[in-house]
Amino acid sequence: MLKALTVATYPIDTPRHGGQIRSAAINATLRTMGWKTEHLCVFNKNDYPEAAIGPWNFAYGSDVADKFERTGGRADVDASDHILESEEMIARISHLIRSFNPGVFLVEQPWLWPVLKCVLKETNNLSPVVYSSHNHELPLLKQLLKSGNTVGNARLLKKAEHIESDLVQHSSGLICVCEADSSSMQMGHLPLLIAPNGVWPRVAQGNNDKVLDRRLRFMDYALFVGSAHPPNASGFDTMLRPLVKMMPPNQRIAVVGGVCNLLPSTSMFNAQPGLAETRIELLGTQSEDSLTNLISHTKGFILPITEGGGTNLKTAEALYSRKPIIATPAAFRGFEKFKSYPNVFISDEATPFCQSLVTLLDKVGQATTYQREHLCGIEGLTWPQCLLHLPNFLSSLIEAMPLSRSIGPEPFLTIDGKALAELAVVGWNTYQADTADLWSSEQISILRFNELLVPKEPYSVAIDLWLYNPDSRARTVSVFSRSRLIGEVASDSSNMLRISGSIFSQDFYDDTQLELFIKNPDIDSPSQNGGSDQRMLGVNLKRIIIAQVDGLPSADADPKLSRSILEPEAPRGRGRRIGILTKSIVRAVTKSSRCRIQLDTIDGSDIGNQLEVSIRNIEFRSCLIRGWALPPGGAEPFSQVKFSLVGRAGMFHALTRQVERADVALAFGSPSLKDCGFEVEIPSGITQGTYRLSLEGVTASGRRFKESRHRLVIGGER
Amino acid sequence: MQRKRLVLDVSVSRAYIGRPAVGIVRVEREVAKYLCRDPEAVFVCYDSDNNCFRTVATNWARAHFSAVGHEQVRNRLEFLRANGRQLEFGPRFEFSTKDIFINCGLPWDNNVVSAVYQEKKKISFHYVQIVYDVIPTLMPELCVPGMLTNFPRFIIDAAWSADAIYCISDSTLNDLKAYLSKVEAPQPQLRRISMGAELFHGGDSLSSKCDEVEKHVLFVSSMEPRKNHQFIFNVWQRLYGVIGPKLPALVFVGSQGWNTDNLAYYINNSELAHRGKVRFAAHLSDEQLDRVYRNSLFTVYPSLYEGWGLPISESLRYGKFCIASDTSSMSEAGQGLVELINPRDFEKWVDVCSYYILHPDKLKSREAEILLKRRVKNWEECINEFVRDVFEKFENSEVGLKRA
Repeated sequence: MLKALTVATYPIDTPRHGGQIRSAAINATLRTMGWKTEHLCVFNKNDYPEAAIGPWNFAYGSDVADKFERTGGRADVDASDHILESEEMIARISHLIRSFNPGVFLVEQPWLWPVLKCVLKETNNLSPVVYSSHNHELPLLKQLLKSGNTVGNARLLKKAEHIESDLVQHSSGLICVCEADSSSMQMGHLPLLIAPNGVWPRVAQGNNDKVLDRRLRFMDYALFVGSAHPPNASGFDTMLRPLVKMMPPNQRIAVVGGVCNLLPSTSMFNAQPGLAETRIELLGTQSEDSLTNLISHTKGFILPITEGGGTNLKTAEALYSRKPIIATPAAFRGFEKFKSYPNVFISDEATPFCQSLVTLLDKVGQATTYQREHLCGIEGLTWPQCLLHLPNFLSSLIEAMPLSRSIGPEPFLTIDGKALAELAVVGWNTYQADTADLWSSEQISILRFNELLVPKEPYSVAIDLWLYNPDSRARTVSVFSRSRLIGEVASDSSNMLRISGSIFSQDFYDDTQLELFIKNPDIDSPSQNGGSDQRMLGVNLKRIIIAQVDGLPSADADPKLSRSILEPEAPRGRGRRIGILTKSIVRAVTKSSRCRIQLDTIDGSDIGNQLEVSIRNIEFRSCLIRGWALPPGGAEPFSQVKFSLVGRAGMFHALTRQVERADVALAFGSPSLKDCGFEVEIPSGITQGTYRLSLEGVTASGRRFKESRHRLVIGGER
Repeated sequence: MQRKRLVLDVSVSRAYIGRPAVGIVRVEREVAKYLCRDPEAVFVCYDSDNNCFRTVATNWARAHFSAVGHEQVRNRLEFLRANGRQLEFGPRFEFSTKDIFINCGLPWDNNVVSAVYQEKKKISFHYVQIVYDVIPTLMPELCVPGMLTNFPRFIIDAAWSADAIYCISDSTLNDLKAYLSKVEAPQPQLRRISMGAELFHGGDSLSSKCDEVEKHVLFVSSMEPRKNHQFIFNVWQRLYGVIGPKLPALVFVGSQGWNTDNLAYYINNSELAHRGKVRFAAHLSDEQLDRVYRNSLFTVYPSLYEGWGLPISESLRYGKFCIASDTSSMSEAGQGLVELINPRDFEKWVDVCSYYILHPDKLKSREAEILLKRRVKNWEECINEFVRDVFEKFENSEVGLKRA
């Protein structure tokens, strides 16, 4: 069974605000697809009194909240500190993760990444981490911290930036709520899933009139649902300030949710005591039944946010209700295609926004007529539809774990499939023509790595294997190096085991050769149960991952340079950079989750492995850039590659022309990749300056992969 | 052209059956009593459960309002027992273009004005609202909880819906005008209605809660923070120190209102109370009220803010000198015949009260001046003026102002 662990600064058992709702939907969706999920959370128990008590819920009390208050801290950005200060809590979380042994970690908003990073190191867990973003946090935080303690704010911003960028660096995949977020985060090198915010269909309650709030029963009202997220209140304040004087006595705005606690502090409510309340009913948190009832009676939704990242979960809810919507452009971020739907009015100016609202409420209610494509669009807003590709996305990351995140800055080697057979030295057997099916057949089986140049010690090794355990006895499998025990693991009911540990220089022979000894005391044969199968089966080797453990990558160990391992004839040079191995390893690496885009020449000059390329000819007219692009292992070839230059001097975008590159296809052993080459011409009109060069490969099915590691300097500027 | 028909909302009177009338209830009853003579007039009540108006049976209304007086409250209870509630709460009322709807009640606790607005969206008729003050927008801290939000809603809804708002003083009219301007609300016609004052002619006294035969100083007002009872009690404490046992008693007449429990306890347990120099009297019959007014030396009214100041008018009606606050509308109610003092100027109040207690001759001359110069209208005159003004304004107008 596939297992996923979501990690967040809020519980999700009774979701109220957008973050909770999304994380809960992710859990629910995975479970319906047969996954087992858990949710690790650290939160202020006063903020979530309804949260259940459970081993994964790490609730703190007012002492910690007071400390945040005193020190200008925040319950999100600083949440990890509270855990990291306690060895006991780290140990508890480590134990939970060891026991659960998730196949993938989804960090729901980045704030608990420092905790997870620490625990992953503690447990030597190499399962992929996915940054499940809800917003691009840094710009959002900047907006939230516009005023107030500037020293404290600077600290928060710096810390937030570090957490988010560090998480991205260690992630194997990225989930964004909209295209705009993925662009603004510029994480083009990661496998990306755009999974918009959705909605759960509501079930209408009977006898609704009886439960509708008395204050609204005879009113024409519009509904605003928002959590205690500051942009909800500031947007409402900005967009609805002129409303009260425009609204007749039979019209109301009904406000539901935690935002009701913030609105009384806004300038709109403080301008004249009691005035805003003449037309705005703050209903506070409502039960799902009441909210369903309020939605069924409302004449429309208002979505007045003017800032904030991500997408507005309430927009999906509003669209799905098929009620008229008055919204800001920001509220339709990620829902752009719905802007032209019937009964959707968009404005970013307060007066027309309010005027539309008054007009809407004055209308005699009538059903909206949708065309077929509108209805299809609306049906696509449900969570199951929005998260349809999530399970496969995560599965592919788990399957293609090589070169994905490691405990350190970048894993640099993953070996699986047939490549494993080339490491097998003693005590292994392949019983089928398929050499990928590699079994240990002795109590100690040896794997050997030749010419393994490593960037920096220590680093980690993780060995995934399946234990043949026909009688489900308790067994222990261990891994040794030449000098010591690296790790061991006891069998569990699934018999899918991961043994992990650290490797140091003393584990090597001659600095470059490493042997790993896999000890399994029990070798059994199916014939012992009376069958004719005479094979001797110990462990079935599935995958080996080697990754750096600690510290930021040095220039030589820059993970991006590790791509040189893809090139069979790559020069070794420069000391400790990885220069590797055999063709089998190259083939193994092609199954990584990362696409590979290589620039070969600019105007006929070889680029080699330079990441910064200069064209200093001031008579520069135009030039031709050539290269090749490969999709991640297993994915279909790119049908097109987009080229872009973005810099302070300007932008240039173009679609590349496809070029046949049989040499690359041959090197990677896959004839289907023969059209992986591309070329593009930079026109003469481009302004001199420094540009970030991005390439985006698009597969025939629409999957996109970005690469933006090169800088291009045109002309004299540097 | 069809003659206009007056439609009076008597929801407050209905709600106050069996309860002593506060000033606003009295005004509604006086208007209703006046309209009992108009065979065309219709009485309605607001049905908040269904957001509509219901006709009040004419015989019920006439029986209730035609001889309205303070004692009527008790008679109503018997009337109700005899006739049942159906008589008072009839079928849904359908407005017509000839109607002039008058509300002079307390419409801030429900959505009555919004209901009028919604009715006016369906059919145009005229709507007249009486406003007594806008104190909750000026001094919300002195008003019952909930008024901070309910009262602005009522005022703004009335501004949107009413064709004319009648204010009970120039001071209130100016306050209302300023508030509507400040909140950028629509400004309907703002007009004046005068407040009446009459001698109390009670029926049989059912109880004898107050036998004030000794000369005393009278403060007629419900007890609430805005009326400044603590202040005048403090003045009386000081006066007792100066004048001693010859200090006349200060008699508080009025029911105990919001946020005064501690104050009532404080006063009741004071030395002044033990010595009989301060006394409370509530729920008096008209006869008893008549007696306490007649036996008073003078009256005091230190209220911090008023929409009009009815006890000042009543004091003048009885020919009694009054020492009152110099704020808001009280100079209008006092007609230049009362002493006006800042309600926070403690020393001045002590001096002036002491002066008139110790100089009965001066008091007599102030009373003589009052008898000579007072211009106190009775309720009949006031309501007659009001109704005439309403008819003049709207009789020839084909339809009411439809704002929707």
